[in-house]
Amino acid sequence: MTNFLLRAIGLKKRIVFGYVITGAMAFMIALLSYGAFTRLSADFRKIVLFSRRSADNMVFAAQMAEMQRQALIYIYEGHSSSGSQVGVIYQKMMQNIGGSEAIEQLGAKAVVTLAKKHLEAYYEAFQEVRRQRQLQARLVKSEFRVHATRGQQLIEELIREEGETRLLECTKMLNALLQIEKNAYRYLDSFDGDFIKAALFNIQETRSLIGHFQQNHQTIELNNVLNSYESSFLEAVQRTRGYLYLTSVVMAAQAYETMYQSKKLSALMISESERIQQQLFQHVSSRLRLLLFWTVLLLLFIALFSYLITKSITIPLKRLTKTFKLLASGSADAEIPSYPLQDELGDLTNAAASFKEKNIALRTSKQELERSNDELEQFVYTVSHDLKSPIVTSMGFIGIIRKLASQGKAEQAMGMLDKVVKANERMSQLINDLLELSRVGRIDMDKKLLDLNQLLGDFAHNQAERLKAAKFTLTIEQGLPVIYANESRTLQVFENILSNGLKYVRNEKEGGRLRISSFADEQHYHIRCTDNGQGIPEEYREKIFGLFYRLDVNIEGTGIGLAVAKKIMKFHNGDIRAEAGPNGGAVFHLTFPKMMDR
Amino acid sequence: MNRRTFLQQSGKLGAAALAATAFPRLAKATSKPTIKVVGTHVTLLESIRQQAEHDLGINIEFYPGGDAEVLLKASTDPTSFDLYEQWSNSIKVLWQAKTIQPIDIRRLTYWDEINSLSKTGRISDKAKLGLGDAPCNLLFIQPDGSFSCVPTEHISFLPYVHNVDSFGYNASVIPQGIPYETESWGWLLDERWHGKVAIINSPEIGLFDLALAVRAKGLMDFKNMGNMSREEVDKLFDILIAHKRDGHFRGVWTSVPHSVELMASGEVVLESMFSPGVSALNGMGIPCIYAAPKEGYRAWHGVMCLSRACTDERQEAAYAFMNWWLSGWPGAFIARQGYYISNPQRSRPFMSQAEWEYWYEGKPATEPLQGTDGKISVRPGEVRTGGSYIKRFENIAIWNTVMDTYEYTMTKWNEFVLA
Repeated sequence: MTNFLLRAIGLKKRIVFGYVITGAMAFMIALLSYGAFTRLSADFRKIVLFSRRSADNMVFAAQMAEMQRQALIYIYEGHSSSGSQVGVIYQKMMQNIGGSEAIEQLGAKAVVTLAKKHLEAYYEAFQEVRRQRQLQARLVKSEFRVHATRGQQLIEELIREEGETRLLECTKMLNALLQIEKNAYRYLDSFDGDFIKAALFNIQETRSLIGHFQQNHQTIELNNVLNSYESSFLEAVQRTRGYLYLTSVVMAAQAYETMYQSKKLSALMISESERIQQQLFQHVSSRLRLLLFWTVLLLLFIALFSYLITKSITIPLKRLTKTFKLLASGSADAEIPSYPLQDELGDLTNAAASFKEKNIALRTSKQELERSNDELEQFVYTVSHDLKSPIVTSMGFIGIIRKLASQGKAEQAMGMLDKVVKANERMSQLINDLLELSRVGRIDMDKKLLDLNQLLGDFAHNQAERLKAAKFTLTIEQGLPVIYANESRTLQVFENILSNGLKYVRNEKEGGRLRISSFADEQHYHIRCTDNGQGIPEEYREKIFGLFYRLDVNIEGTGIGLAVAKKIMKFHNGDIRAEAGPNGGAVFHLTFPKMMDR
Repeated sequence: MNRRTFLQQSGKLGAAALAATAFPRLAKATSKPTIKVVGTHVTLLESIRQQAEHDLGINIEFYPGGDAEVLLKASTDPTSFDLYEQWSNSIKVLWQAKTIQPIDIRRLTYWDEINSLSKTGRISDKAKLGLGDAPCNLLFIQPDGSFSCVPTEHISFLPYVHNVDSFGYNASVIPQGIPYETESWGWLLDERWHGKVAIINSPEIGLFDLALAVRAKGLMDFKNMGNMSREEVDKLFDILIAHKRDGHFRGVWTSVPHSVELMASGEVVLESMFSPGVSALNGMGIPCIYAAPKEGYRAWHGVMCLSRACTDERQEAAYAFMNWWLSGWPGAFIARQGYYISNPQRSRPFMSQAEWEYWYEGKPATEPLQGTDGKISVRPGEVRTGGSYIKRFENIAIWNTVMDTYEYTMTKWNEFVLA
């Protein structure tokens, strides 16, 4: 993970990402908490709502019972206030029933509709009861009295007219008439059907007694009164039965159904309330567990992420510190820690790499300087040694000349002067070659594209006489490359190689030969100058490029030519080395960088 | 043309011919008499009214209503109707209220065809008479104004539609019983169906269902269940109210749709039922079985009464309407609702052989049978519970009755319903 962070995510992004993730998780926890509390609040609200509604339903059921009680009081006692009270309770119940939020949420509209329907049917039946009750009351309180009173008046008139002769029959008639009223009221009080029969019997008895009298206007009217009385009574009986049926059967059933639906609604609400409570507890419990889980997860994440971020910062910093310490101590071998990203730590790593490059360059420079110093010392030593040699030789000959001159041997002394001149000429040649060596890289070093085919062709042409004189064969193969180099210095290299060949190659059988060929690889052109001499022993192949080094001191030369060639090739970012030839000869292998190096 | 098709078609043709000759149209060139018929939804159907108007050439107005409503109307105002159609248990009330007049049997065309059930109370010699007010006991008006089975020339009502009732039960909940053997009114008080039992909300009907149940369970007996004493009523309601308070009853139902709704909703698995309610539930895919209780059925008889205020031209039209009812077509029509007519043979030509066999003979339906609404109400292979018309009416336990304690039972019923 740390490696992934180190490889894939920059320092700033890592830190910002850490904060963002932590913030997001905290926000999520906050959201979860908000959701949980919102749900909790809604569920509590529902519970409260259902509880309130359940209480309302209990009130509703109580109101229904009270309404039925008032209705019965009205029916049995005839109290109009009770009848009115039924209406008042009904209005209250209709206002309170249904339409509440709790009903909507419970989806119990059908139950409420049913309860309402039964309540309406109840009240409608009660309205009819009132109507029947009023009609009955009119019959009983008004018509009964009118008929009974008129009947009594007619019988009394009959008594007065008939006198005491028929008093007994008239009294029986009067009693029967009174019994009608008595039995009618008994029926209305007790709802016992036997009293209907009794009353009807009394009517029939009265009618029978009337039949015993001679028909006159009184008996005719009395019969009419009895008929009306009977009709009123029978109607009152039917009205009584009617409202009794409506109350005891129709209203009772509607009241029961209304209360049943109300109880059903309450049961639904209690059940729903319990379900919500249970759900609420489960919800709270699960949300708390979830919150706890996320909080622990967040803490773990923060801890892990802090650890990873810290590690991802401290690991490269520690590595870099160690590296910088090494670099500061001048080490060019200090390992630069791998850090692929371009962030602040990447910059620091790059700085360390630069630091290391500087150290390497410094070390190279130092080594170069040391080598230069060594070379210089060697050079000074060699130069002073090689230059001292002609001087010593000259001074020796000068001493001999002086001795000979003092002995008067002028001619012998003069003969020694040639030796002195030769020694001085050699010293002069040494000095010139050294000057030439020093000029390489400083003077006349402009580069251009050189076609070696043409350059060496011209070179061979110019050397033709010399080669002929030395019976030396120079072969230039075709297909030599075009190089980017200084023309005169390049030519100088080939001239030195050819000069060495002419001086050193001894092949009596074939005569001296030098073949110049080439090949190329991806980065360099390789020029091989192969001779057919005795070759160069391996231990001398490097030394021959040293200053004043000669394989054979008997062969004329200063020992500077190959050193100049080496320097020229280095100036061209190339190289020259001696190798063994395929047939025992020597090979001078030149390397020129390809064009891209210019 | 096969035999069945032939019988059906020839039967219809014959019936049409009969109908055409049976009713001299009463409409005169100048005006048509109008009669008012008050009654219940069982017989006051628009199809019947239109058919009667068409056959008789008179205007007929139907005023259907609830049992109590129409009874109150008829018992207090004879001018509110010309004919009154309800149950035999209303006769005593109407006669006592003097709102109906005797019907002259000499003016009844098909009087002789009316079977013995209506005239003697027994459909066959071995039939039980049944407790309570058997229709014949209310039919003939005696010279003293009382009713009895002794034939006279005047009757209190025209016998026509009748049937037997029992209870229905949901066979998916209650194991199916054996008709007349294990099916019993006592099931209404069976503890296993606690809280899922409903009773028709009518003291003169539901009370007998419950009384039969109480007796079947051996909880009490009656000197005369058809006319209980106050003490018996008190004892019966003590038992019933205890059951009600214990939550045994879901409640009472006030209409056939209400009874259907209760069983369809699953609130009830066993209840007093009427035939159309059972058909409706079966149509809804609920396996409601109309029981044939071993104790016998609770029977009812429809009555058509003539208003005291019905005279002259309207009286003539009313008699024509009564005769039309027994002329065949109406009997066939109501047979498709499961009801019987007092002169069934007159209706037979108006029914297919399959209809006759299913509805009257208690045989399996040989083809799909349509109800009065034109929908298939009986599928092939179905058998009417309780068997044939004769077998059903041989097993009458009690007739719907208005007892002497009518008013008192109402007050007790109130206690029971609200308990």
